[in-house]
Amino acid sequence: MAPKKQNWAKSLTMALNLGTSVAAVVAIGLFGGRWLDARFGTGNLLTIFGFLLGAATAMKILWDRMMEKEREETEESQTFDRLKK
Amino acid sequence: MIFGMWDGVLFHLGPIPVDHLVVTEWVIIAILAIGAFLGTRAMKLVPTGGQNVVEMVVTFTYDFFTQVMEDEHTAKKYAPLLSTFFLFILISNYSGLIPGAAHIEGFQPPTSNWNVTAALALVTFFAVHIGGFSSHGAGYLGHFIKPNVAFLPLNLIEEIAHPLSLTVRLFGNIFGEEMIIAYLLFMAPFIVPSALMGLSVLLGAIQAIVFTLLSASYIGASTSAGH
Repeated sequence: MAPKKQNWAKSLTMALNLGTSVAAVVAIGLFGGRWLDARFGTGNLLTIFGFLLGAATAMKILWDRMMEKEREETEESQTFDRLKK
Repeated sequence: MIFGMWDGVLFHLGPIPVDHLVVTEWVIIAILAIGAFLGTRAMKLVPTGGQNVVEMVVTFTYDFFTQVMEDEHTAKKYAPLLSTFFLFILISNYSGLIPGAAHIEGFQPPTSNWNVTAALALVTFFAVHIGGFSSHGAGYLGHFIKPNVAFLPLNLIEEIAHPLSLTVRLFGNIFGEEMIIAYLLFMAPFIVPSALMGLSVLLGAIQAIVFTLLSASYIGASTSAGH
């Protein structure tokens, strides 16, 4: 197993970024949808659509970060294996 | 006046109204400019005294942003902007620690007004996209349709979320803290608010660090090779 290189600044930023981004995208979808509903008189339709769009964006953000982390770990272990050989 | 916050115009510069927040920001800018002038005048090849401290801080800043952005060249390019963010927000937050600041006209911390935090977040927003275009050219637009064009609305929401979260977090924390201190001062004027003001020293620094770190992360992501 490759020794983990600790980049605390990067990890802290990722944690901060993830939490706030997920909350912000859901809020944008929800309140954006509510504003559009009030403007076009479409009941709750666009609020629900906006919320779902925000939730989908939140999931995409989580998926992207997960993939990014996995890619970094794969690269790290490949580098370690190369050095070991 | 909203929740004890002053909202008065002090004077006009032609057609532009200037309120106390703008004046406070000018004072903070003057403090930073004078500090930078005093810290960098009469610099020598072999540093002595204060120059040692300034060089140590600058080196630490470069190393820190290199860790966050994972690219030394980008870190050195954007470190002046990000360091200015940090110092400006830190001094702004601390300007609210003057006793009774929220109740005295002219002593409200600028970061407790969302117009100021939105302006700071917009600077980050433009720095992110200008940085992206300067690093990748027109190809930068391609990241809006990654992995395919169906993701365009999701990517756009994600981009809008960055300045929004920067604005709301900084404004909400500082405004909330100021309000709590103001109400505590009203209820128990002497000892009780001082504990919270002590906590505000920590909170003010944390918020300045968070804003700067996230700005660095957004700029680093838009300029990185893998973007």
